[in-house]
Amino acid sequence: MIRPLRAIPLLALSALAAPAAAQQGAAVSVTARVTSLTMRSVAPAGRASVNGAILGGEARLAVNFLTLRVAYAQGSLARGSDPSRDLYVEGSGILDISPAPGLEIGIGPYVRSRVVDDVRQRLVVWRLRGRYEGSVGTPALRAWLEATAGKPDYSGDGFGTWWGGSAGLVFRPNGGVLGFGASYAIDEARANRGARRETVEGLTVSVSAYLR
Amino acid sequence: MMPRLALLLTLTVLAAAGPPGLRAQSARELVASGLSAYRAVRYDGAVQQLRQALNVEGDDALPDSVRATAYAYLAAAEYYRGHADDAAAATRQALLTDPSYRPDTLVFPPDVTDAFESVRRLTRYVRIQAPADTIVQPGGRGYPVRLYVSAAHELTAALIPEGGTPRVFYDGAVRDSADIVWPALERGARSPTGRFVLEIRSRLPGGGARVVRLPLEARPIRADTLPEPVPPADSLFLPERAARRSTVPSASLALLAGAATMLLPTLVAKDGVGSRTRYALGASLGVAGIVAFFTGSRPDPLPANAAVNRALMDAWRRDADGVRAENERRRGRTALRIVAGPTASTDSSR
Repeated sequence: MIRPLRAIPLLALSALAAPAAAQQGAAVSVTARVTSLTMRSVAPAGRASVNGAILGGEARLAVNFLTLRVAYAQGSLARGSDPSRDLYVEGSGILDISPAPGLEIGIGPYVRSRVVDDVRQRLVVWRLRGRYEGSVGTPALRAWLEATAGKPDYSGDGFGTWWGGSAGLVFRPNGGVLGFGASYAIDEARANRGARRETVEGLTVSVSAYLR
Repeated sequence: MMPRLALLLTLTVLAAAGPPGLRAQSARELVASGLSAYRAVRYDGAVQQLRQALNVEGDDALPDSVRATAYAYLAAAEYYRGHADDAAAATRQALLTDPSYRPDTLVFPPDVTDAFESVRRLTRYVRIQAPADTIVQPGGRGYPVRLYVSAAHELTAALIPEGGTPRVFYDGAVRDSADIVWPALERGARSPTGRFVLEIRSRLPGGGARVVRLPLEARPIRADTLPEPVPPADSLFLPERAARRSTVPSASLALLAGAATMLLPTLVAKDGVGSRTRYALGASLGVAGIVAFFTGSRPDPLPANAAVNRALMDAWRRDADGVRAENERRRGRTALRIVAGPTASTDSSR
């Protein structure tokens, strides 16, 4: 059974904090997103694939050259024709610095959890991320590229490496309050030189509100 | 009463010290002579001298402070001459001149003061004492008026605008004197300007009224308003967009992002498998890059500069709004200059 979305209080909290942050000259935005997610697992015992839609949100606070992002998403994933569904939850926080316009380098935790037959599998990664974002032709349209890498700590099984990447675009008409985005992301955790691995990819559509 | 007595004694001494017969006697000298005659029990002479003094007009006329006393001595002299009606008429004249006048019981014998009192009780004279030229501030006390009455009675005080309807602001009894205030600048009320008449209407015992009028002129005094702040000069504003740049970087970014979207599974996943739907997103990015390359890039906005400019304009608007509000407040706080004219009365039978 899926628990109530935790993203809603996160977004509400961000929206409440936005006016105070905005008074400090900060940029604040909140994003709601839907991701079509596919998780593929490869292990010596065999292969498995689950997919489904997850709902989530992100709050972003930028002050000068520092940006803090906190995100949360949750949904249920189906195992092929199996009627039972797995609960999937992910959350992250990352603190970026911007050494040059459009470029961000950040570090922060990334956690995802999947409950399979009442057994929780959790991946915890301290990830390093590089991101570049710039306008495409018009300031209203921006594209971005992201690369991430980290050291996972996978409870039960020990994954040795984890990396991923994503790209996407955001359209914010006339620099207004709302922005609409689409992105693609994929990451993979590996152990035993790839003999055991877990790949998660997702196509996301999002709506952002730029509160300042 | 003592200052009046002192004044009369002074007049007497001055009159006696002057060279008589060299010139016509002044009103004050006539009063002094009349008083001397009264004390010498020469009542006919006293009446003659005092009436002469009281009939003097123009610059040499007696001031009200002396005039009331002269009438009181005239009333006493007439009383002793057996002319009761003339004595009563002189008493009324004394009270008309100064409603607060009372005969000094150390100077006049009881039968004279009793006669004075019996006449006074029936009179309804009012004297208005008000500032001749004053400024009433908004929120202040208003225009103060002091009323002196000859005897306790009911009266109303009303302000009558020129061609307008009277507005009563006092209605009640006054015993000896009363301080009343015309609330000239009431909160929320329109500032009164123009000519007015302050009318004191005394109710007479047998019906009718005795009316005393004081003409007033009210002129608004407007406070100076502040000049509005000028908008910030153009030179103070920062550019809100960066200089136009080459289209290559933005086109390259879109193409790179599109390519990355398509190639990420190959780069990240060992099996290189990925969702086919990503090709649509990748293609969209690629098309955006190509369009950007051929249509040219608009300069990027500089949000920090825009924020500085916005703050500059906001500060100016705040200042301008503050000045406008202050000016509005000042316009609403118009003071009033009130100039009073000479009092006129409509005397009734009493």
